[in-house]
Amino acid sequence: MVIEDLINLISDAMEKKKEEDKSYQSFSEWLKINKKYFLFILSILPLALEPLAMKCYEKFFGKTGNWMGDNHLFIAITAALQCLFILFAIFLPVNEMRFLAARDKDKESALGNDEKKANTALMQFKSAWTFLWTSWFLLYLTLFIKYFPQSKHSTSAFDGILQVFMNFFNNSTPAVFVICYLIFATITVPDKDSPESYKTSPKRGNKSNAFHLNWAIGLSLIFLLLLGIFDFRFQGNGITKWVSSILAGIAMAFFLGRLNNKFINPSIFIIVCLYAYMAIQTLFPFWSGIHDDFIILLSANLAFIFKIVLYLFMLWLFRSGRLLFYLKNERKLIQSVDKDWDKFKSSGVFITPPLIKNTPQEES
Amino acid sequence: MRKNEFKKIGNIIDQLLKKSDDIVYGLIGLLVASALMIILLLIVWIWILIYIFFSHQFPLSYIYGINSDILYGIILGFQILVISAVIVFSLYIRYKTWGTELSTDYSGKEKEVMGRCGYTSDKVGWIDAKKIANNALSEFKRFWLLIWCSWFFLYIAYFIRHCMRDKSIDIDFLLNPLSNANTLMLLLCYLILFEITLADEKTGISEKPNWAPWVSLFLIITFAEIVIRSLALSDATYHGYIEIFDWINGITSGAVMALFVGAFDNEFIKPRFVYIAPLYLYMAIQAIFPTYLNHGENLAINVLISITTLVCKTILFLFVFKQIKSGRLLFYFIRIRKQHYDFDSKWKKFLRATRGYKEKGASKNATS
Repeated sequence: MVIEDLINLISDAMEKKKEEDKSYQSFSEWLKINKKYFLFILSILPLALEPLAMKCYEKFFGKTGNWMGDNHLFIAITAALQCLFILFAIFLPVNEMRFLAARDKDKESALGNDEKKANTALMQFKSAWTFLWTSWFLLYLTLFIKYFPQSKHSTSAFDGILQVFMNFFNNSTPAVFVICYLIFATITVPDKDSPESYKTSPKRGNKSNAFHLNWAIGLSLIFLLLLGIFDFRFQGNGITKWVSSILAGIAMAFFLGRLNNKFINPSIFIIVCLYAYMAIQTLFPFWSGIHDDFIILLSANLAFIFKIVLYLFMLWLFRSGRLLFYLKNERKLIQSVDKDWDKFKSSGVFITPPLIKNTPQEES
Repeated sequence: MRKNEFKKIGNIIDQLLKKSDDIVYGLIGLLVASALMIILLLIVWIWILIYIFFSHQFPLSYIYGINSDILYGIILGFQILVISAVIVFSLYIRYKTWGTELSTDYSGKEKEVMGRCGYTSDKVGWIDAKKIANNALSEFKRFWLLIWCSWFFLYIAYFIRHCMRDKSIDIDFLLNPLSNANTLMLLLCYLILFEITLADEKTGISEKPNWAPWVSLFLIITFAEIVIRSLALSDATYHGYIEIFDWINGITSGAVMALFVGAFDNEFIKPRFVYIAPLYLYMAIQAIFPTYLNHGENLAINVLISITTLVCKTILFLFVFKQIKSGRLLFYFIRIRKQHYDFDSKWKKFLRATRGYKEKGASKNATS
């Protein structure tokens, strides 16, 4: 009996160790273990890159057929593939997310305040993330409908409506990225023990303790409305495309800047890939104004590949628990860092007094 | 009595003038320059918006009654002036510490802050961390100066190109390599900020910066561009390939600028939104810059882009200068290094707390 117990104990320990090792993976290790994701990419890439390959062939070895010159068909194919991929992306990451466990098993009441807040922030982020992919899906769906060869003969009114929807979904992505950034960089979950936490604290001057996410969502909607009006007024001018692409680039950069954090610890190559995606997003309307279709197709395909990288990276963050780890620790740090800096300044670590004006409170 | 008072005031002013750093004058100059540029930018933007509102198209040759050709030249010249001022300034920052250096010994007063930074009873580690932060700051200042030097040469090239546009002198071949050199400097600055690039004296672990892959990548791209450009001189079919280097330049400079700005958007520096938003806007412009400025026919847009970059550049300089001067960058270096080394233990501890708890099937996976 004793030996049996011992064997059970050892096997339990080994199981636990295995699970810990499995979770303690970098992004590349995680990809190696989850080969199905690699297979998924490999299966989707030839389809995605096919129009580009055809164009390359056409560009460098001469024309191969009339259908090759049909740019509408290419755009429709790329949009359809993006739609399929995004549908897949919307439904997959919501499963198997890691949550902070209560010390006393599943009882929520046994969780500490920090843990509860981290779990809530994770749920907030999950909603924003799903919304982001949904808006991308709708954008590509409208793009597909617009460029599908059958719809070439559609009425101008129909095209106009499609364009309005397309612009709306296109502009909603920067708004969602800003909300994602706010969840990452500010405290968006109020302290339940002190309902005053949303309000401005007199000690902290104008800075409130927690950022009200509803305000951000409301402001985003106003921003979308304004951009919509702007879009409607200057339709066909191209300036709205520029404005929205620059805004999308900036909003995405805000978000990606937060992903490049020591709590998440991504490899520099992944981050460079994601930033390159952001740069392509920003450059897209400029290229489309200057260069030929080949460049547009190339950048669209590159953007698609980088989107897959972004999706896989976020999937890893959700599943490995790294995102939750970040949300928990970052919030603690945000709360304490101001005080740490004040103590640092006044502790005499600088050789000669720095040119910082101390407040009368500190001096006393 | 009155004479004495006047004398006192005179003495105070005299002392203030003697004590005040040249830096203050420089800063005032920069602020005035950027304020002027902001006003000019606002006028141009408002004018263009009004123009578009009524005519539905972009203005081409004239901005606010001035030939945009001349205006573009003036702005490029102004950029060079501002960048030169910043280089002199950065030289000053590089060789003068003016109080923002950390002491390399330990005093009892530091006990609390030591604990807050994660070095609870590790005195040796704390002293090491301070030394490394000092060295990292000095490294950062070196590359910060080089960023501005590369910008200086790039704008000189743009200026010459603009002045010689009607003549047969073509210096386009210089633009991409100079811009890539600037991207490289920004990348190296980012690596100093975010990666562990200096050896730990206590553990002796050598984590010396490895610039080689990045420098070689830059050299390869530059060499490839030189080869393609020389081939294009004799064979026109190669001409189309030159554009590839503009795209590479645009994408990499945008991405690296974002990396650099993102490293500052950190919980330890806690920058204000008003600083970070223009810096990210600058990132977007950096991405557009090579593609548009090398080929864009519309000088009005070139003028707009140039004015915006000048304003953003000034904000970038003032922001980084503020971080260096206040000592916040040193605080950042100490904390980021500790965060890097503590990652493993914290992550393992976290995994133990969350093991088996997942959104779906939590009860099935929960450890008993």
